[in-house]
Amino acid sequence: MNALVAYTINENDFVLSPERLMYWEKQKTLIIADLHIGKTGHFRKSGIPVPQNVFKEDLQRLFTQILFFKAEKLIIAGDLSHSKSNKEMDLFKKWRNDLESLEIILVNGNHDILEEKWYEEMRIETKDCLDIGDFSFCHDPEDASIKDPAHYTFCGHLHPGISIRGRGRQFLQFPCFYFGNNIGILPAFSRFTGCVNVDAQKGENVFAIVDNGIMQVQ
Amino acid sequence: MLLCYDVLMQWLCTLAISDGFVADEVFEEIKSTYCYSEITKDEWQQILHNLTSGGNALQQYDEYKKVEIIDGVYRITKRRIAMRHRLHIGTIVSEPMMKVQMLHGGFIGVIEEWFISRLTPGEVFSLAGRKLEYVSSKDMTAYVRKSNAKKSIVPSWQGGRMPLSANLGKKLRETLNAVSRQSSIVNRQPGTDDSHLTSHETPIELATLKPLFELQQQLSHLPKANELLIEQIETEEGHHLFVYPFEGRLVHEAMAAILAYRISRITPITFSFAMNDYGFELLSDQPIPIDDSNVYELFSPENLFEDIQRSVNSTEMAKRKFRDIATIGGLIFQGMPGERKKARHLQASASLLFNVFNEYEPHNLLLRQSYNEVFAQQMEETRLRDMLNRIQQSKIILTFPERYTPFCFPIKVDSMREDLSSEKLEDRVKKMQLSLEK
Repeated sequence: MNALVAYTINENDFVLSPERLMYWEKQKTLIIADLHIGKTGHFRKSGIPVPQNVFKEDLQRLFTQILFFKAEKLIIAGDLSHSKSNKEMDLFKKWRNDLESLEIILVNGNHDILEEKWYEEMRIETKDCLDIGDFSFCHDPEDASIKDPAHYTFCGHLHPGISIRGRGRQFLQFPCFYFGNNIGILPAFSRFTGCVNVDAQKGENVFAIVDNGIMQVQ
Repeated sequence: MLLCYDVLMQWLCTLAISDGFVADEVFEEIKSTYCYSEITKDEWQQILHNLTSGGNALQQYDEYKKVEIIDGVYRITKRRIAMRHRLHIGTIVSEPMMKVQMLHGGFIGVIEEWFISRLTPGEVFSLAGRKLEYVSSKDMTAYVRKSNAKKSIVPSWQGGRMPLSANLGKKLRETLNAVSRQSSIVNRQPGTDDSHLTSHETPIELATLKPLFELQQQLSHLPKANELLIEQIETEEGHHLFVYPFEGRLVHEAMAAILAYRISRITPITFSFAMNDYGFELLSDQPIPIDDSNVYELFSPENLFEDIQRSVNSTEMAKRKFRDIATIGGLIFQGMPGERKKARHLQASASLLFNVFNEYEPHNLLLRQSYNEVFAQQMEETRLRDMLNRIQQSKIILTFPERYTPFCFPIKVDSMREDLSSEKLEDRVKKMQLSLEK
């Protein structure tokens, strides 16, 4: 098991991190999906007292990883925010201002329902679908259009997980990176999310996040 | 049950949606009840704090709102929160329900979501006296059509499983003892006619079960009251260890966890375990190191208290309790009744919440309550100690049946399982991958 794993698609090198994100070396870009900021705030505003520290730590983890990889750009494959605006957005704003030179591009997801003005203020470029060279980014894998076999699309939305079964009715489930022939699905970045099993076919690659490391399980 | 913080929090919210409550007055009142007579000022403050400011918050980034203090009176003023609370009053937590509807309209009834989720389209089940073929589901509704299939799956409901009490368990052991003695008399005098014995002295239940008892005796052993039967069976699934103390399911769950924990200290090993009112099973992918030489030691009452603590922390018993506690305590929003779509933005599963609280707010009262309830109800030290002392006095009989016995079969097929492991997660994944490749 390794803390970081290299994975190559279309001659581009990517680094998979157990912090639930991926680094694109050539583009000096970090790629994440499903950050769901304001989710704890949304629960709390409705009278459900979930701990806010899970949100705070998500932002800290992302900050640390941006510094670690010296990333210049951050691509979010959808669901940056969870619901309508709440005060937790102010913490995100502070976080954003600490990373002034970082370029952020958001591919709109089903949860991204904030007003345009907010994205402008945060200096976040929003797109429904993003193309960079041989690669595309969109939120829901169902919306991914496969233009030609060489083209590769990264998505989020599913919060993918993989379950492994063993002898003696043993069963484990982990969040994972899933790489199909033309579509790659990123794990949900936020720790306040569950996961849904992906059905991986033969020839596809799945990397499970096991504790603080990455293991290829298929 | 004592100090049920979940029920107390729900009740306080109920007061708060009507005329509100004054903290000091209510404190005196609840302290006068049996259930909360032991509550401390500190715990009471924590509960109030939880209701008004939602535990630990990131000060200026928080808009937690549930109960407000207006002129010294605790009130809920927000209409939506009050409405949600009213719809969630109650302390019997049911499974999420799905509507069952004909493809062309007719509404048939409701059924638990987990049952539907295990069906594949085309499978037939019975409901409301009809045979129905499952077609698809959408928005918490399962669509079905009439079926003429001869066979159908009978739905089951998760409902409470009432465990045996200590007294009933004792009675059961006595009954088995009688059966066992009877059969050993028969065995000693082959050829004697025992029909008059069966018809006059044996109750009908035992007479009906006689073939099963005989099969049990033939494959393994029929334990007497002063014996503890342990069966070890190896199958394609793995290595099974069945133990039959006849103490009721809750005690067995605790005993299974403690035994698994004790064995896992001998060697790195992973168990999945299941239980019913008669006994429990430990199942592992590798041989279970238990034999004549260490079996009494594994059932020793020594260090029981420490082993209870450690085994609860390494299993998921508390997580299961938390599901109900979180729902009663208002952490889980089950959606409005009759709602076509679930309000997804406010939903998180109990197991996700359990993990989040364990990691980020380990002192949360509702989380503590779920551990306390496991200790108080299942890990009842005196009852466990009595049982272990009884086992120490009795004869432990280890058998190695060639195939499943009548005793073990119902436990083996139980799908409610837990696990406990002393292996590294990484090693477990590697082993599972290897076994898949074989």
